[in-house]
Amino acid sequence: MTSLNTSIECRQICLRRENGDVLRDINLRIEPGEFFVLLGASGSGKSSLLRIIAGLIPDHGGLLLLDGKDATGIAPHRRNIGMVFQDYALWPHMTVRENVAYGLEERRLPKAEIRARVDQVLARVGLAELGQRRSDQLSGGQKQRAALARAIVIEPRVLLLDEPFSNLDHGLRAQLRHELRSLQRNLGITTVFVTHDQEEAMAMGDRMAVIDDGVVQQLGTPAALYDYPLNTFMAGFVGNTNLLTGSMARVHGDMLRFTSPQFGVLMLPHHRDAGEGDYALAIRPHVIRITVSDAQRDGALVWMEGTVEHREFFGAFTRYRVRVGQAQLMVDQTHYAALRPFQLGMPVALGIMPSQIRYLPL
Amino acid sequence: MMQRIASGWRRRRAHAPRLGLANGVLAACVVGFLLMFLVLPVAMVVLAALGGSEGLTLGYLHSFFEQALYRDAFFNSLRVALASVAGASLIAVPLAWIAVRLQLRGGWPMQLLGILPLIMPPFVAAFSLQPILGNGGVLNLLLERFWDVRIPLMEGANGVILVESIHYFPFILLNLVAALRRVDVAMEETALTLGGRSARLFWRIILPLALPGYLAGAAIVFVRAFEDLGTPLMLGVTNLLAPLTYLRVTTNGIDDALSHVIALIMLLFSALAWACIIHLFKDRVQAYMPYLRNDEGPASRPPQTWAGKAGMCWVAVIALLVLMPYLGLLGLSMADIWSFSVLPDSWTLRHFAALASDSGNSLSNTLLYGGVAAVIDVAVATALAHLVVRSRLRWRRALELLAAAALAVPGLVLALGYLRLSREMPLAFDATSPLATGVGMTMAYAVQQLPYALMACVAAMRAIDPAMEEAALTLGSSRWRSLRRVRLPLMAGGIALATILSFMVSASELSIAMLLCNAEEQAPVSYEIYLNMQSVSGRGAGAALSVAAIAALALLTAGLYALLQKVRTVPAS
Repeated sequence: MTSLNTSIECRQICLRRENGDVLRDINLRIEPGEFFVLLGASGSGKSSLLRIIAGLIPDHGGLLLLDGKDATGIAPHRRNIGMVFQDYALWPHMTVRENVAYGLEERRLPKAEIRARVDQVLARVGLAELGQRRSDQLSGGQKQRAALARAIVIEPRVLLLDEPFSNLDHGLRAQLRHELRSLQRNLGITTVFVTHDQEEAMAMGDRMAVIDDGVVQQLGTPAALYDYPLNTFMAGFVGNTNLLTGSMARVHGDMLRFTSPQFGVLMLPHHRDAGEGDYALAIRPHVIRITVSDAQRDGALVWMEGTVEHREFFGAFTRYRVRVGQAQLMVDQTHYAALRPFQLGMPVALGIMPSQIRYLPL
Repeated sequence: MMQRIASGWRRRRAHAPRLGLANGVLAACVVGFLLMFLVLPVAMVVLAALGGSEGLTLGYLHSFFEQALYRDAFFNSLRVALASVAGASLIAVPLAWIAVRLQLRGGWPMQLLGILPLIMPPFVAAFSLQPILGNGGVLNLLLERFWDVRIPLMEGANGVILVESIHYFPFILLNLVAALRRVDVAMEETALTLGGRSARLFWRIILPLALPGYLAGAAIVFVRAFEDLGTPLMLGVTNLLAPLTYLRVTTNGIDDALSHVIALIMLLFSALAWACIIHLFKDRVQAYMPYLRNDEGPASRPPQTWAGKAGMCWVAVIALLVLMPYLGLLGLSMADIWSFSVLPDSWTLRHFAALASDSGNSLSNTLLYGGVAAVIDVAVATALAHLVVRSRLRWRRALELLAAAALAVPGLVLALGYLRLSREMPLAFDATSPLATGVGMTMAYAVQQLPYALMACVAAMRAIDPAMEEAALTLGSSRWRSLRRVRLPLMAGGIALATILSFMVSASELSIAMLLCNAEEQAPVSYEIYLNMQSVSGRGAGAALSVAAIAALALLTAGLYALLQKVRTVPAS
């Protein structure tokens, strides 16, 4: 086996096209054996970055290092990188076997070895019986597996996946997600996974980078990105959040007064991220406690009054939209049997743990 | 180490998106080909019409419109071309509706109706229709016997219009059917829920949406009818632009200025028609893009019975019309004498026997010219398609338009340009040598048929997801090998289609051959048929040769098609 412990490093990668910058100043390092996710909306430039790593876009600026060595000028076929494309790109004029064997033939391996390795990898992805089929005779999930087999049979030092699950239905997606992750762990191969689905990104990635408008917005583990968003874009893009905008002032030395045109004044304890000026408060719906308005209130929480305007039942939780002044807050309440829901129009009290509030300067 | 990386990084950062060297070379070759064999000859004709070496003048142009003979010819040509569009539309529009809306089992009769007329060159059809619809033909003999009337169907311009309509209606049919199939069924159902009746629905909703397809087909019919030389000559109609040019050049020689003026006018009108259509087509396609789908289109559903019956009658009438030239041709090829009688007086196979002994030459000439032209077309069209679809070449669109512009150049104008080219550059192009004649005809065919090959190749290349090739690149193929192992096999269908189209059109071409060919041993089959049919004694031989050529062409096409099917179904290893 070739070295599977390959690191990828992007230094000030940029990409310019006639209608503007696709990527600007991308700096990141992907560790050997890591499962790294690039998350972004369509058109954000995430796929372009993946294709730069594969060598399919040679005319980028900046530096790409594979295992610490400059790979910028190297043609894609000399990089030993496996890639799975969004629409699988299985060749319709070849069978599954021929598709999978292609990369090994290009490497001029002996026929017997090719046969053995193709058999092995087809068995691994569960396509042992379907080698003689053509791509149009496969289901979506089978195509996905065949494309994956084709990419990993060459024992690439890096595996790149470009939205590989976007054409599959929900149940199949979850299953393949699991299969891919355990396959990657077994092979220990450095993997870059591109997706626009934040749930998928958080579920799969060791670390992830969110790309928007050609720039890396934030880099870190999924939990870090979820818990500590750097800016309002990140707070809104990863997971659901309530964003309340207003201005912050220090009063009485260690208290903060947050004044919002939407719902008035909120007194908050001192926080090291908060200073004076315009801020957005980001509060996840599930950290807000919802009670009837006349219930006993926990003094450690900051409380607001509101009325229930809307209710959606998701099974594991119920999502309320509560009117507070001009603002509407999303509040998730964990559901269990016999819990009585709050009725529409009912006055409620919302309690927020100050440590769960994120202060994002505007 | 760090320093080396840093300097390398600065170097990379500086460079802008660049055009690959290979693409540049490819573009240069294609541009060179088009300049040499399309732009230069046409420019020479235009220059000659505008005064040539004595400086630019509109004098020739002026004198053209001064003379009643030429003015009449101009309006006659216009009338014939427009009437041919009307005739072809009359045949094709109902057929298209029938094809899309009626449940025709398998659809093969319709496909056959769309192909059969195109196989027989129009001048052969003109000739073959004479014994059936002509003055002394079957129809008029019967009419005269029973009702004492005659219909001058094949007299003068009528004959030209009839033949052009029958020959070219498939262009409208095929384009219209393709366009209709793409009209989203939901569009139509929306209209139905709003209370549209089916007739109004067709005129108000479906036809406007299908208009781009119709216009494209109509433009082809207009231009082809406008520039056709063989059909009018075969029917003895000389007061049209194309025959006038031809007659002037053959009697007065290549220096005749007026023939260049006529050529220029033909060129301008063709170009104008195409420009209008391209313009219309572009706007429409963009405006209707959200409503066009690329899949199978609306499911045909059984029509009301009266409409179904009327439709079937129409199909039968058109089928008869389409088969008529074939019947006439078969009759002529096997008749001893067939004149002023419903059926030939006696039957014979001697024309075919004579054919076997002395007509191999022209068949192999056609195979050579058309074959080499097809190979050139496939090469140029594939290169062009690559530049258009895959490169980021700045003027790729202009390049595609230039190549497609060959459609707007009448064969006669192109041939005239080649004659001038050979005169102005005798060293490069000595028209009197047999080799040069062959080369000239081959190149003229190649340029003329390039747009068809280009259409097929561009469509084939657009259908290939670039990721297919990128997948090969990541798996260890060089660019060149990924081209060979992935793109070419996937394009095989398009390439075969391009070859078939190019060869078929070349084989039935007559204008270029009539001007460029100056010895009988170099004549392609179309020209030999024409020469034969000019004389009464050669009619049988000409008809037999036509039958043989058409049969050969059909066999060749079927063979290529079968080969293609085989290539597609056999596993690669």
